[in-house]
Amino acid sequence: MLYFLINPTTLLYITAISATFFIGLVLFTVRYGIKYKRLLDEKNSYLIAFQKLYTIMASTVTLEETAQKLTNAIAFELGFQAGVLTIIDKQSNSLKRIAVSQTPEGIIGLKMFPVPYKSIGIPLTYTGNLLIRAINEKKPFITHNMIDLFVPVLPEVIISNIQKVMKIKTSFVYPIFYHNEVIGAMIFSISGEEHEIPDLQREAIMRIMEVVGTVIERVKVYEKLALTSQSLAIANEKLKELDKIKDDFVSIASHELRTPMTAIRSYAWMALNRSDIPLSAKLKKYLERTLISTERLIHLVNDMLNVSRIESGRIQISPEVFDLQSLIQDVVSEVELKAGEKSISLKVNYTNLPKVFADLEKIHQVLLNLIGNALKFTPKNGNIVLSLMSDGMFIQTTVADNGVGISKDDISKLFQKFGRLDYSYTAAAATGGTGLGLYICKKLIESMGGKIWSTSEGMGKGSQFHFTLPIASKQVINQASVNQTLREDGMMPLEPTAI
Amino acid sequence: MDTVKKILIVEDDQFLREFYQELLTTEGFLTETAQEGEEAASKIKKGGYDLILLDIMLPKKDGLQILEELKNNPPSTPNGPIVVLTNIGQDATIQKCFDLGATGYMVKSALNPDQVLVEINNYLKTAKNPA
Repeated sequence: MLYFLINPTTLLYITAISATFFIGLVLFTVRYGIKYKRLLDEKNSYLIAFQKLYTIMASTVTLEETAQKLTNAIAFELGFQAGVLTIIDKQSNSLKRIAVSQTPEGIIGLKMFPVPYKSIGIPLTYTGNLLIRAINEKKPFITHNMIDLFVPVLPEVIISNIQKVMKIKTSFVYPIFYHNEVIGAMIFSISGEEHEIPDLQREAIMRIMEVVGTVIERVKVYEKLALTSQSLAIANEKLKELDKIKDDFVSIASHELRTPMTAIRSYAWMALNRSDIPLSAKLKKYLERTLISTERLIHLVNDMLNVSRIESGRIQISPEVFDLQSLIQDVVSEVELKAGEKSISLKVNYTNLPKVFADLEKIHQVLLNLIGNALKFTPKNGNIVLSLMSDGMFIQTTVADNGVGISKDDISKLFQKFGRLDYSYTAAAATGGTGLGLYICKKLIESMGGKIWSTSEGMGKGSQFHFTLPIASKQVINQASVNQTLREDGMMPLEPTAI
Repeated sequence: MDTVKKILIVEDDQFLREFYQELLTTEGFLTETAQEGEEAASKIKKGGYDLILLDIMLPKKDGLQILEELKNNPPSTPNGPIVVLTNIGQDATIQKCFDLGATGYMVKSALNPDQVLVEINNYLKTAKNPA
């Protein structure tokens, strides 16, 4: 249905405005018939009433409020002593009174009931009640005995007394329609005889009932929608909370894991480097492997923590304007020693390029990761070349090596979580890879508005890793400051990773 | 100049505490240890350490509380640099430690023992107010 495509508030407004207009029109017609002599005066008060109805309806949000205002408007405008609105409650299978007009008679009567008026529910199966008959037979009824409207719930002696005090002689009962279905009934009471309300007006009231039905149903839909969105909001809050609990758990668990891992790492290192007896080749190998594995485990814990934060959207990205080339120079000098150990040449091709707008620390980690990978998968005496180029919007960085290369099938797996490739497992195991590094790189680069991918001619033919970052233009910086203000609390930094 | 430097090791994990003690003693330092926050705070308040290795997550009183107390109430006998030695590798915590007067910060799990020694020697060398 089209209604559900519209925002509930808009829906209510549209309904309220159209209903108000229609009620106003009908009310005007009715009044015109009853009191044609005072037409000019009435026209003015009708306009005021119209204005009033419009503001009332447009601001109404709950069923009870709507019912009260509808009942008041009709009773006052049509000059009834009292009006009552009842609605079918499917849950209790009864007819519930939900509003009484705040006319003087309505107020007097309301005070006299021995039970709360709105608690009075007439069983839908009780056909002795005139309201139920009006609903079942889908037509209006007239009575001079108010008890007809209260059986079997309240005793006659009480009701006839109330009727006397309220000075009610005649009550009209009208079913409320919504799409040919009856959803409730209204009572209008007057102190005179039924002929005071001519047929023409009674016909008009039937039409008012259709409008009342429409307004009531729409408000019900609105209430349901409001309830649904409220429970969705609560569910969402709960999920966020759970997410935070999960992240806190991962944080604490990681910290707890790192303490014993530090002890293993430290003692293994001591056994290897500060032993008071000479180590056999075998023992040395065992200890070296213990040390490498522990380091790998520590990196894995850090990376898992990072993945957990990235996936819950809680990694803090603080972009700034910086020179990518000087960052690359810093990273290269950091890894030169390691490259030297394998006699790998590490070159950077410089060109004059504009600055980028990204999170420097995170790019530092991405570069360390990519260069670290290149070092791992490039044999001795190999070459690693870093180059940069610009297309005016982005700067593309490429880390190229002439190492083991990647098969076509494997290229798509590279940036997945634990997307380790079969052939490289041995190398990764020996060098302490976690299987999460490139996944983290991808998430980080994407969070800064860039892209990351890799190319390779195939196995044994080297590989190239490329990533792009936005050039620090005014537009990019402005957009980032907008996003920054939209960011939620609870952001976490990245755990350090090592190559 | 060549007096033996005295280092306080605040660490609640027994293996790590004993490890750092052995590492530093072998290196020729004089060491003392504290295994929880209150013990650490009372030792630090007496003053006279050339360097303090301070863990953050500690029973009874955590490292940040100790740093705050020292900032508000510096000991009459001064200490050398306080180097936070922890496994919480988060920027916010690191920044807080520096704000509260720590001189350095080391993430335990990220360093091998030789790197720990290099760091400690650097902190001792650059210490402005040795005790």
